[in-house]
Amino acid sequence: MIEIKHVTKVYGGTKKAVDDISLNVPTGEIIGFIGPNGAGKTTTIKMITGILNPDEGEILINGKNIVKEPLAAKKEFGIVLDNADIFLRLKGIEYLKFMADMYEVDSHLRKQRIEDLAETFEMKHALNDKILSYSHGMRQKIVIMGVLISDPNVWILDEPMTGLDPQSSYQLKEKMREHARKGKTVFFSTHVLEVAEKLCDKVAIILHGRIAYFGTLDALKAQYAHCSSLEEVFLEVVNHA
Amino acid sequence: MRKYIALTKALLKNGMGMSDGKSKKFYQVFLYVVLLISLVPISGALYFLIDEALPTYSMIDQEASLLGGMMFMSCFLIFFFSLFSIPSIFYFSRDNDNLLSLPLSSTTIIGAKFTTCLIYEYVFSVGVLLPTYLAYMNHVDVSVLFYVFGILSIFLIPVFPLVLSTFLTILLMRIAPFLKNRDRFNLISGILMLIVAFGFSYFTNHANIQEESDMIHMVMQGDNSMLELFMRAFPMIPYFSRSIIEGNIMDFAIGCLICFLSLLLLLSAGKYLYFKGVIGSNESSSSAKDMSEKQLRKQSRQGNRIRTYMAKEFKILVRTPVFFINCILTTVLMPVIFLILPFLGTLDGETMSAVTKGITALQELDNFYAYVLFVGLGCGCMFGVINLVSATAISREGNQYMIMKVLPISFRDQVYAKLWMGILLGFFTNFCTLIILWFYLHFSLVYLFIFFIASCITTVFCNDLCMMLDLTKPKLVWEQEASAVKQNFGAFVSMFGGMALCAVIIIGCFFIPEDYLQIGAIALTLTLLVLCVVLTKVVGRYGEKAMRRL
Repeated sequence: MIEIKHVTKVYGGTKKAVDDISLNVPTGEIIGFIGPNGAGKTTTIKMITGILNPDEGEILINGKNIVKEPLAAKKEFGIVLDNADIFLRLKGIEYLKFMADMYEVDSHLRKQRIEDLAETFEMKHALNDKILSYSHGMRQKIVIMGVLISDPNVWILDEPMTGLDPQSSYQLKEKMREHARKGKTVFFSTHVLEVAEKLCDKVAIILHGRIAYFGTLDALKAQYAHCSSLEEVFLEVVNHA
Repeated sequence: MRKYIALTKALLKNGMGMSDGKSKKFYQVFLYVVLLISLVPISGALYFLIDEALPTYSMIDQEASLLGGMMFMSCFLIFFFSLFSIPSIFYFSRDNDNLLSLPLSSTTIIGAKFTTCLIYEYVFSVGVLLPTYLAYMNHVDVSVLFYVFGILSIFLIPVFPLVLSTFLTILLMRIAPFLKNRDRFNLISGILMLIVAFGFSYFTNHANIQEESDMIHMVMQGDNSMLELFMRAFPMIPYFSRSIIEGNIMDFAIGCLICFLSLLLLLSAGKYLYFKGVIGSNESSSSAKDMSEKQLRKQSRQGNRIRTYMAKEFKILVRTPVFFINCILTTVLMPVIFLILPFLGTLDGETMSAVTKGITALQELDNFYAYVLFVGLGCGCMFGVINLVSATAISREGNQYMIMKVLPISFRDQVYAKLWMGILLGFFTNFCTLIILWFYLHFSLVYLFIFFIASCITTVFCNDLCMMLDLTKPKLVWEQEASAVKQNFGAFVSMFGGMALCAVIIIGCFFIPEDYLQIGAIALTLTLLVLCVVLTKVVGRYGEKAMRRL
C-alpha cells in the first residue's frame, strides 16, 4: 500500500510541481497514474521512491515513511524508471546479480527467478552480453527483470511500455496482473489510455500537480456519459480542471 | 549555409560549455576565468623563453624561424590532441543518430562539427601564439600589418592541423571498420596516446648528438632555413611567419589559400567518406552466446552487498575505456613513470649503481627513517589522488545517481564502497612503488614497511577529502563519460590539491632543522593518522547528507 498525505513539491522556490496531493494506493490492485506532460507524474513517483524529498506532507510505503525510514521503505518497493539506460557496461546477468544482492534475495530463489524471467521476456540468449549492446526494448526488459527478481511488495513503474514490442508489452501486463493477484501493489504512470483501460483497477489523474480524479474508470466514464471514448473523457477532465 | 549556421550554433550550445545545466551563469563564467588563469603560467613561461631567445635568433637572422617554431608547436598540439577528440565528436557522439536522420548533407555536418572543434582548439593557438607575439613586440619594430596578420593567424593556423587530423580520422574510419566500436577505439587510442607520450619522453632524453649538430648547422645557415623543416609538416607555417615578421601580404595570402584549400579538400573528401564511415558506428557488440548452467549457478550465488557494490564499481571502471585509462591504468603506470622512466632516460649502468650505493649508505643514517616517513606521507597523497576514483565517485554516475537513491542500501554504505575502491587502487599503486623501490634501489624491508604505512595513511586521507569534494559538487550532467573524469573541475582540484600536498610534505621536510626531523616526522604521521580516522568517519555521515541533497 502507498499512502500519499498532503504532499507538495516546489521547484526553484516558485513552481509547484505537485500541489498538496493525497492518494491511497491499496494492496492487490493495479493503479494507473495518468496525466499530460509536465503534470507532476514523474515528480510524484520520484517522491514516492525517495529520489526527491517532498517539501510538505509524507509518503508511507506499507506503513514505512520514505523520508524517516528510507531503507525499510525501499525494501518494500521496486521501481522501473523511465530511463532504461542504466549500468550499461555490466552484463545482463551481472546486473541481475547486483540487484538480487542489493535486495538480499536467497541464492536458490534468485536462480529460479532468473530462469523464469529470462524465459518470459526471451532474454536467455542476451544475459551474457553487456547491457550496452541491448536495444532499447531489451534494456527496458532487463530493468524490469532486475525489479522482479526481488518480487517487491509494491511495484512502481514510470512509463513502462515505452519501447517494448507487443509480445513483451503483453508479458509485462500479465506480470503486473499476476503481481496484483498475489495481493501486492502495482502503481504505474502511462500516457497510453488503452493500457490504463485494460489493465487498471483504478486510475489517478493528475493535472497541474493536483489529483483531478481517483477511482475506477467505469465511474469516471459514468460521470462523462456523453463522451464516446476514454480519450474524450480524458480531454474533458483536462479541459475542466 | 543557413543550415550550417543553425547546426553549428546548436552544437556549440549543446557541447561547448562546461555547464551542468543547473549551475548559475556566474559559476560558469567563474569556471572559464579559472581555465584562462590556469593558462597564464604556461603562456607566461613561453613569453619569457621567447623573450630570452629572440635576441640570439635575431643575430643569425632567424626571427621568422623562431616564430615558425612556435606556430609548429601550436599546430602539433592541435593535431595531436584533436586526433583523440575528433572521433568522439564526428563518430561516437550521441547526436549522430539525430543528425543522420535530418535532411542535412555530409558537408553541412562535417562543416558544423569542424567549426565546433576549431573553437575548442583556439585555446592552443591563443595560449602559444599570443605570448610569442607579445615577446616579439618587445624586440622587433613591428608594423600595423604585424598586428593584423598576428591576430588573423591565431584564428587561421588551427585550421590546417585540424583538417589533417579530421581527414585521417575520416579515412581511418572508412577503411578500418573494427575501429567503429567506440569502446575499442577509445581503449586503443588511449593506450596509444600514453605510449606516444612515454616514447616522446624517452627519445627526447636520448636525443642523438648527431641530430643536434645537424640542427645547429641548419640554424647557423641563416636566412630562415629552419622554416623548411616546419614546411614539411604544416606548409602554411613559413608563409604565415614570414608575412608577420616582414609584413608581406603575398605570403599571408598564400598561407590563407593553403588553409582554405585544405578545408575545401576535406569537405569534398568527406562527401564521399563520412556517411559510409559514420553509419553503423556503435558502442558495443553482442556475443549472442547462451549462458551455461554453471555460469548461471555462479552468478546466482548470494553475495555480500558491499562487496557486490564494489565489484560493480570495479567492473564499470575496467570496462569503460575512459575510466580504465584515467583511473585504473594510472595506478600501475604512475610508479613506472616516476621511478623507472627517469632512470631509463638519464642514467647508465654505472650511475645507477652509484645511486643505489648512495641510497644504501643513506639507509645507515640514524634519521633516515624520518625522511622515509615524510616521503611516504607525501607519496601517499599522490597515490590517493592520481587514480581519480574517489574524486569522481559520484560524478561518474551521471544521471544514474537516481539509482543510488532508490537502492535499499544506505547512502553511507554506497559511499564507503566507492571510497574503498579508490583507497584499494591507491594501495595498489603504493604496492607497485614498493616493488620498484626494492628492485631498483634496494631499499631495506624495514624502510619499505615504514614507507608503506606512511603512504597508506595519506592515501586514505586524500581519498576521504576527494570523496567529500565530489559529494559536495558532483558533475552529474554529462553526455560522454570523458566529461565525468577529464572535464571535471572538482577532479582537477582534487588531483592538483593532492600533488601540492605531496610537494609541500616532501620539500618541506628538507627545511626542518636536523634536531626536530624525527619528532616532526612522527608528529606529522600521528596527526595525519588521527585526521584520517576522523575524516573516514565523517565521510560516511557527510555522504548520507550530501546524497539526500542531490
